[in-house]
Amino acid sequence: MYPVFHAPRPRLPSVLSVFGPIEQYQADRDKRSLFSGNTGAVLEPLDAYLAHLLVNVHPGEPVLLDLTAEQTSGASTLLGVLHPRQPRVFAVGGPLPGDRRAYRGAVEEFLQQRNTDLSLLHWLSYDEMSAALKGETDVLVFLAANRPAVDAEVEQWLNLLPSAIVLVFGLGAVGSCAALDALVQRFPTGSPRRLALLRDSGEVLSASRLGMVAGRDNTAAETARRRLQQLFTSNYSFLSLLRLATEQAIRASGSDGVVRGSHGSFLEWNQEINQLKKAAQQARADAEAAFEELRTLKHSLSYRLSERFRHWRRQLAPDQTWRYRLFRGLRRSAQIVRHEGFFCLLRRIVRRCLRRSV
Amino acid sequence: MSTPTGQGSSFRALIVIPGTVNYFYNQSGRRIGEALQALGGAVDICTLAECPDQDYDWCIFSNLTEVLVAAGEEQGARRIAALARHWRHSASCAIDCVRTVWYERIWEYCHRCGIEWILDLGLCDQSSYLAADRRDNYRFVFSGLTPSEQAILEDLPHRETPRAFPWAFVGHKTPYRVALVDHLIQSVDPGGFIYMPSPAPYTEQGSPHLNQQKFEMVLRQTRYQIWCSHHRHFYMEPERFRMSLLTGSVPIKVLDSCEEVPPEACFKYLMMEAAEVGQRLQNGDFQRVRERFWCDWRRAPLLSTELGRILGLTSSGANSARQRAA
Amino acid sequence: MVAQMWTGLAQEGVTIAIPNWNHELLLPRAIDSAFQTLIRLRDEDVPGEILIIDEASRDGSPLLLRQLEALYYREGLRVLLLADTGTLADSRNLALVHARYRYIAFLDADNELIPENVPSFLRALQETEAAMVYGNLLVRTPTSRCAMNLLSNESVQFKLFQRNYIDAFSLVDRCQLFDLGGYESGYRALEDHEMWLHLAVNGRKVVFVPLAFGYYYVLPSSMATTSGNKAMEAESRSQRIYNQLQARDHLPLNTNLLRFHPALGYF
Repeated sequence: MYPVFHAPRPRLPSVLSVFGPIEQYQADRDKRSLFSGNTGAVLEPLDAYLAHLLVNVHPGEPVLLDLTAEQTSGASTLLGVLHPRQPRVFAVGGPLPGDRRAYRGAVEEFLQQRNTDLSLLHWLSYDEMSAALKGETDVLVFLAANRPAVDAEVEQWLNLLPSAIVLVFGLGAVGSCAALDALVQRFPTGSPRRLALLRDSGEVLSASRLGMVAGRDNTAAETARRRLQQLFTSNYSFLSLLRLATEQAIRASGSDGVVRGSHGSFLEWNQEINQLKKAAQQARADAEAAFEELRTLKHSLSYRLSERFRHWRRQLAPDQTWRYRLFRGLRRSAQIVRHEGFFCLLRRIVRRCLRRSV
Repeated sequence: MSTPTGQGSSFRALIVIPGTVNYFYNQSGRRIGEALQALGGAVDICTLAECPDQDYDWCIFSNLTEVLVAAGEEQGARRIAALARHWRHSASCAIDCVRTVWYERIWEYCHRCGIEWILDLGLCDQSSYLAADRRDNYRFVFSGLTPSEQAILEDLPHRETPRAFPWAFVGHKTPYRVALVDHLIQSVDPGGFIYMPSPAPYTEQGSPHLNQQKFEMVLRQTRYQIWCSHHRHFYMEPERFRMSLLTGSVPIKVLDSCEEVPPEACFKYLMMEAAEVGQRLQNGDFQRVRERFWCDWRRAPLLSTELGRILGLTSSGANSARQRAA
Repeated sequence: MVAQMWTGLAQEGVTIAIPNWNHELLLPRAIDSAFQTLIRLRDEDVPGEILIIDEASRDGSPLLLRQLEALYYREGLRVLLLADTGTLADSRNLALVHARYRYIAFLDADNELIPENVPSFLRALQETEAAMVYGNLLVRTPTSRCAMNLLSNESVQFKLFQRNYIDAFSLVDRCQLFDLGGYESGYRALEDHEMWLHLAVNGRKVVFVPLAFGYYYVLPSSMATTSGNKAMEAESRSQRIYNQLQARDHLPLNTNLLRFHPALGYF
């Protein structure tokens, strides 16, 4: 194959670079009909990207606790393991009944194909997690909103690991998501823990279904959230885009031209344009007439004779020669005789001779 | 390229075509030949190099400039001088605007080679645009249909068939034309056929450009053939109108704001300014406009009638003259 | 990556690839036209995506793209944000690797597609089995609504060996470009011209379709107007590679004078 297609180039994260491998994993999995399950209900591309960025901007050495591995069939685990910061990942890996256990093998196989270091991935049962993570400070916990009593589970993990940040994937709209209602109830304004929805951080994040819960005094969490917000804040607002779109629509309707042509304010402008058009037309007609005249002249006998005479003169008396000077003198003399008379010519000759002698 | 001379013909004519260079002059020569045959004449069609040393009543060049360019100017002029004694009358046809350098060149060559007349094969008499000294040898010939073209017109289906291109623009690339095409994309339909190569000679074979067959192939799939002149004088390009007619498309000539349409011009409803094109083509009834266009052509004089009248030839085979469309 | 590449090569559909380098102000126009194109293609049951390759822009492009990807990833907008600047040829090769679909429409970030016509170009590409199809590009100034020139307006002829008149803004068969080794990354200008010659001498078809493919905007200080020396260098290099003996005019060329429209066939 051609090396030009394989030369690696450093990249910045994008939804494609983060979620692309996950899509590939899902496609492989679907192709081989390994197991069923709707990953998309929990892990949206945008949320995967946001979680990736949160790991990026986390000020410490983050450790990932993936409790959504089962719901995402291992996709969320990949999110952690493939992160360039190479965090340690603790994922729920069974024992699980039936085909749902298959995701562990699928994840490992996928990572092996990509030559990824598997030593950072630890498969544990749910019960083993708390013991394994005891004493860790920079923990990011992944939870799925569709787990039963997710609000209580969030609180439980924050009690166990007070400096942790819990990310809840798959939160729906207010009023139609029981998990969100429960979280709001459990972590109201003024409580020691703060629930933040990433979709509140900017217009462009409105599609996000990711929630973040952390201690209100957790400055790392707050800093990370702010940095994330800044990554999606530009000089443009929805209003400016809306204005642009509506202005474009108005322009497309051709109303500018209608107003310009009909409104009294533009009368002078129109007149000027019309005058310019007329002037241009007239100038063109004049030029054509002049050209016509020139052409007629060129075909006339006198013109042809004068051309012929000029030609002979150039042949007989080329420029810068004594013949040419003689010719010029004779022509001047003839002009003087014609306009002022012979005596005048004599007078001039005498005068010039006298001047030279002096 | 010669048509065998018939027995018992009322006159003999020689049509000289360029053979190479712009293919439409060859086509034009063949059309004149067909029209003269319809008048009962015996017609030979050939290039200058192939011209036989025989006597003819008429020798018609299609067109003299192109014939000389193809044959070589000096060599061609000498050949014409040598052959001229065999012709009772001679003419060069022109399908150009008389206010352009191309017509001027034809006039100069005719003057030089002693060709008597210039036959302006067009749709609108241009004599009023000529200087007095240029009018003597100018003859306007309405570029009507030949018998074979008449048959094609009668065979055209009246029912509207689907056409792939809402409009087509074919012609050399110039800034004004490009701007017009952009306007058509925005105001009429983005799916128009656009073929605007850089200027180069059009030849019958081996040309990068569309030859007649290919152009007709395109027009058979086109509703409106749109074009504008590449100069600023009013001129009705007869070939555009004719090709549109024979392929079932409708010609639309876009006028420059400086072009003034003379009152006697025909097909005025097919000429408009660029600003009007979008609205008129979108709101216009293609089928109705096309019917009117066909109807006007049916009432127009035939090419053979026109040539018979202008050249003073008797008509033995041609159809009776028809009145030209209003 | 290799697996993804092979999957994409077999998958019918269109990837609109937009290489970007500091065109923050013009990207919205290009992307909007690309989205309109995707809608047209989907109307004809052709899947599609937009792949933007940002070559380490320093203006607001990365932020804008991050926002747009957040909003439109599900609708098919994907972004590759590179951390270093490569050549345009590198960007195009990345598009060949990362595209999901077999056919790629290369759209520069400052240009605009005419969505209505893209399905016809796709049909032309499929029916002719060409490596690349292209059509008229209407050349405008940055904000003008009126074109003043045309590009890519003629079929391939031998004069292509002398100078380029076909822009990269076209629709290509990723498989064929991939099989021929992609774009020559050593070119710092006119990499598209090199590619057309490469395709032509390898017997591939490069076909002109007589429709308007898009709008080509000429900008102050754009690559095309500032890369004079680079362009001359690239031109002489192409001359050396493809026509050193000036003998091409006397040799057969499969793609010579090819013009095609699905409604007409070759004409």
